[in-house]
Amino acid sequence: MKEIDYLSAILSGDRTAINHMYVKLFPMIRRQLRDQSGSEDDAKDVFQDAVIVVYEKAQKPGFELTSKFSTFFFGVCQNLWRSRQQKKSAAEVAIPEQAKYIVDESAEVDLLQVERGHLFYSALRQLGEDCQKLLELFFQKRPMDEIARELGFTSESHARVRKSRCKDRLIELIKTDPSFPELQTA
Amino acid sequence: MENLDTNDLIEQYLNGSLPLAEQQAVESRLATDATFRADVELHRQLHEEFADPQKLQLRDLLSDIRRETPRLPGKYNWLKGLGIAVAILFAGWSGWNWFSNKQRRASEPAVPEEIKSKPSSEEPIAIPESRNAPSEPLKKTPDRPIAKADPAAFVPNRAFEDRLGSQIRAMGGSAELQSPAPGANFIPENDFIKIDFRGTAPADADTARFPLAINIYANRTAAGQALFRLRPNISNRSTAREKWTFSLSQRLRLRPGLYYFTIERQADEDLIYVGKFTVGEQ
Repeated sequence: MKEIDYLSAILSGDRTAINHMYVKLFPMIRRQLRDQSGSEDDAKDVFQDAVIVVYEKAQKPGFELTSKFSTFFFGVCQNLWRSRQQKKSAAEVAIPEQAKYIVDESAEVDLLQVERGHLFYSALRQLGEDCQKLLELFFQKRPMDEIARELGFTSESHARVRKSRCKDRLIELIKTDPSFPELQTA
Repeated sequence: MENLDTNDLIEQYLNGSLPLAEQQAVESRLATDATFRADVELHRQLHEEFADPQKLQLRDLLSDIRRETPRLPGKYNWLKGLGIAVAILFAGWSGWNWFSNKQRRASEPAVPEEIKSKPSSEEPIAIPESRNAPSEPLKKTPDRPIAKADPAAFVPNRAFEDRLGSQIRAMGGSAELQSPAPGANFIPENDFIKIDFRGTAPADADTARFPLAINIYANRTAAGQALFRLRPNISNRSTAREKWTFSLSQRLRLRPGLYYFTIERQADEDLIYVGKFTVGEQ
């Protein structure tokens, strides 16, 4: 069978290939986590977060895959799961066998960053559609007059006021999330 | 600085557009005010997280996949499925007996309840007993009323649609199907449709040990359970050949609607084909 370049698929957001990757790799991750008392939902969380971790790592200059993609991906999944387990219990969690997937340091993950990204994303998607669109364009550094035109605001200042309200709401959602205090780094 | 609200102030500080005096005022405040420092950091993190539209799209895509993909069949889930099917059949049989006795009309079948919308309410009466031979023809059941087609039963399921036949093949799967034709429509006769699965699958050592499975799903697969799990016959069973031929002729009792089927190698739960068909009204 032809090997699919999942890394390129993640970087380009190729829906069909990522779907295929899910079908192909998820059962193995689920099996792996099941052996370590993880549920199907845990496996889904880990898979989803691992794809984002891979995307972020691959954006960094100098990133290079030194092993097969699947080995690297399992390493990221395993590290994510291990970090979550360690966070749950203050004590060190014994993880037999996993070490074989930790092929190099590039598979290490910053759990804090992963969970923060998760929280920010779910807060954004709780906003109304108009707010989401406005904030997406704003965070992408699109000029305010352009945003106002694109979203049909009567004026730039109106768009600016709306943006402020939307951002306030987003921050409120984030700050009131029970997980927020432990995700702060400042 | 008083003219700006905190959000604007922080944004202008982060994008470097504050006048020098105000920038210095912000920096002094950062050194002494922990709450303000945390707010600035949160704004910075938000800008960092959402600056890349592609990353946001990727998150959306992953959420869609998660939401739309049914629970994938596990290695031994067919046992669970079989257990449930047996329990349903037993419950049905007991109920039927009770009803028949009560009515003293042993030869008359129970009138079925109004068909429910949940796919799991389908009656899995066509699971073949024999693993490697086509099922015995099922006994003709007495006429039963079939509910009027529910439009929701024809709504495409994106998770399956994304993986339909050609896409799977393009991504490296290698089953090819001669029958049923893509998107075939079956009209039930006496409540049953007859469906012929015929095609070729890759011949490898794994498939030699573990047979293929054909799973049939209703369009709404929230529970992720296949309605039927069927075993096709495999001929030319020799790994010296590149392809094996598989076939299965099966009668199924399905309500009008859209159905998907997957062909899976049981060795590694690898999907090698995804197809669909519809069942029309009698």
